[in-house]
Amino acid sequence: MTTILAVFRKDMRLFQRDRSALIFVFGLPMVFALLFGMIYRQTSGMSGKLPLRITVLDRDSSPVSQQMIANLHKMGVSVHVIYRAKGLEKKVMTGKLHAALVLPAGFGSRIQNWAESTVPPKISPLSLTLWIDPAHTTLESVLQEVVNGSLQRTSAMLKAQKLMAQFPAAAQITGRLFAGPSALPAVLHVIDHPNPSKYPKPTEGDKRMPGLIIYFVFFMASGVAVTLIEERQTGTLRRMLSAPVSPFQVLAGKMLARCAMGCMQISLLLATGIFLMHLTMNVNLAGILLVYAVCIFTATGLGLLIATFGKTQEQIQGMTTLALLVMGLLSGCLFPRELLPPMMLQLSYITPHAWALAAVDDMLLRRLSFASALPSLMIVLMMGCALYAVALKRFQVE
Amino acid sequence: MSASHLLQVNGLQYTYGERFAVYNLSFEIYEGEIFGLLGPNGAGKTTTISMIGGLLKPDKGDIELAGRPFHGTPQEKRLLGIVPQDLAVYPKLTGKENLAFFGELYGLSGAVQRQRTDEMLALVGLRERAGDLAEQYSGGMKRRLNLAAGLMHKPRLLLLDEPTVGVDPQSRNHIFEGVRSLNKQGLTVLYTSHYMEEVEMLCDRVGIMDGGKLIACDTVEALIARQGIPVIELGVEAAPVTSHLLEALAALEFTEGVTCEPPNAQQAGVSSISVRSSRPDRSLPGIVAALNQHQASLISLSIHRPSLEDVFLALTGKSLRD
Repeated sequence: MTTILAVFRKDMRLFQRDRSALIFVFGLPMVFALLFGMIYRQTSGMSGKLPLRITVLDRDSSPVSQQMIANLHKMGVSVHVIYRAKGLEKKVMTGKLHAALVLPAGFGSRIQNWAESTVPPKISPLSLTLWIDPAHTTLESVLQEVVNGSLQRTSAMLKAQKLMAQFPAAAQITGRLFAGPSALPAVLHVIDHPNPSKYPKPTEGDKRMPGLIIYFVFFMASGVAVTLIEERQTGTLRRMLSAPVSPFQVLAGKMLARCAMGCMQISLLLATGIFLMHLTMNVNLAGILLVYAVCIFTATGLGLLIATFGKTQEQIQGMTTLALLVMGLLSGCLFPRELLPPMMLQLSYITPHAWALAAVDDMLLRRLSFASALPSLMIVLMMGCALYAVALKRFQVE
Repeated sequence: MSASHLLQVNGLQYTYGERFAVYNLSFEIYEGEIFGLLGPNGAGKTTTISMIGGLLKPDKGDIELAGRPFHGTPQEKRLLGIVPQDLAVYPKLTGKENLAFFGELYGLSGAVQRQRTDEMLALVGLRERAGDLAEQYSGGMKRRLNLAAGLMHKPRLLLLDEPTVGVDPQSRNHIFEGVRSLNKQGLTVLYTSHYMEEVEMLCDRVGIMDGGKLIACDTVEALIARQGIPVIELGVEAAPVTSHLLEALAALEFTEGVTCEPPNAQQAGVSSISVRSSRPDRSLPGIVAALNQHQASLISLSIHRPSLEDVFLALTGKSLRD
């Protein structure tokens, strides 16, 4: 028994001193639990609201349109009301707004007339337009349901009010009037990708593959960090630095090797995407590949920086796995960003992944020009440069 | 040995946090010699090599290489070949690929690189295994490859940091032979070790380090002569060893002291007498005569010459391997 206890104590002591084990056993599950907890709390309705954000252009400004907006609110949508249409479509199609619904002039009177008519003539359906950001289509069907539901509710309630006003005794039938057939028929025109006549609708591959590619490219940081630590531990790094080469040359050589591997990795993932997920290629391919190239650069910078903090391969693996998984989840590479709570959505932009994905989405899903994606790309590049600068500084100091 | 020095270090100092790793270290290495830095683990040998190799910037002091101040520029680094204490080779590369890579770092390419690789593989006895992955080599073979990698660019000064740690006798001999052979061709060597036998066997001059300081520096012979006196160990059978015998031995020319074990032997039996003599060869006839005169039979005799271990002990009060 004494021996067993001695072994137990020794193992606990070793475990306590093994930082990577601590990260894997406690850190990783805790971060995941927190992250998923916040996401599910949001999406499962515990807080009562879906992360649906919609901008409503109220051209009607009538009590009925306000009722419609109130109903959207009641259905858990975060509504922002505007009264001017300037650049609204462009804002949605460039990702500045998630979704926009236009309540046209005459929206209220159209419903009002329908509600007042006792013997409805042949009804032409009410036509509404809903714009959805092409890069944020995960909740598209939910959004459509919510808009349709709100519209039905608005018209049905108005109809019921009118009936009750005319025939108070009919109050008992109002429950039935809330049902669909008693509502004003409506057609919702959903525009979820730009210029539908010119561009085909994005495929699932278009929506999912860029995130996966960026995520796996950034996983290269782990490899960079591990090889650097390995070289430090075996003494080959010291030997290289004792030769007439500068730290910069050593790092540049390593980066080049990783870039070559990254290019191979991207080619493989793109091929998989094309053949299995119908990834669209007739887009600004050069621009998208440039984004991936910048990701490789930034990933290697991240790897080098991590390597200057860790001492052992185990530590490095622990640190990078944790950091990269969290970044992948937070950025929208692995989990649709539009499902994130607003605070976490803001937080996602601290990751280079999020900016890179935004740049690809601009070109691939929103069909914007390279110039439009350039600001996001520049941020990824600057992050990469900053990571390199700090890594190089720390590397020289060490 | 040439009188001109290839390397000179003056007042070198380096601290890790609050602790001095090297303190006010000064010595010079002459062109064509093998200079040993001897000291226990933690004496500051590797830190010294790192500073000379341009890997660490000294906190104080300066280094002069080939008559010029050393700042660790690429040109200066080409004069140096460093063989680190670690097995700094790539396990997943073959011996040949390892050497080719380290040669490339020094600008070797093409036929020159291939020729140099072959020469180095032959020098360290790895030609037969040149195409094998380094991970398949024995510890000693890896050490030899480690040495060859530091020699690829024909340095003028080779810095060998404990190159024989954990190697088998065959590989150790290979390394020694290689170093001697290169030294004969004019290569200057700085050899650090905590094995005093190696330093004694290989080096022309030795610097002894302890606690980051150089506590002695001279030729091996001079250091031993300065600090140590040979001891003649006598196994004597007498009935018993008398004080007269010990007095007679003490009175001999060149005798510096006499001790007996057990002391004050009163009974017949074998005793061990140690005679410290500055010239054992000259003392021996007198010792034998004294033993005969006092009817003591000599049953064993050995001469223990002092080593660098004794010098270290005398200088620091502790053993080299403590």
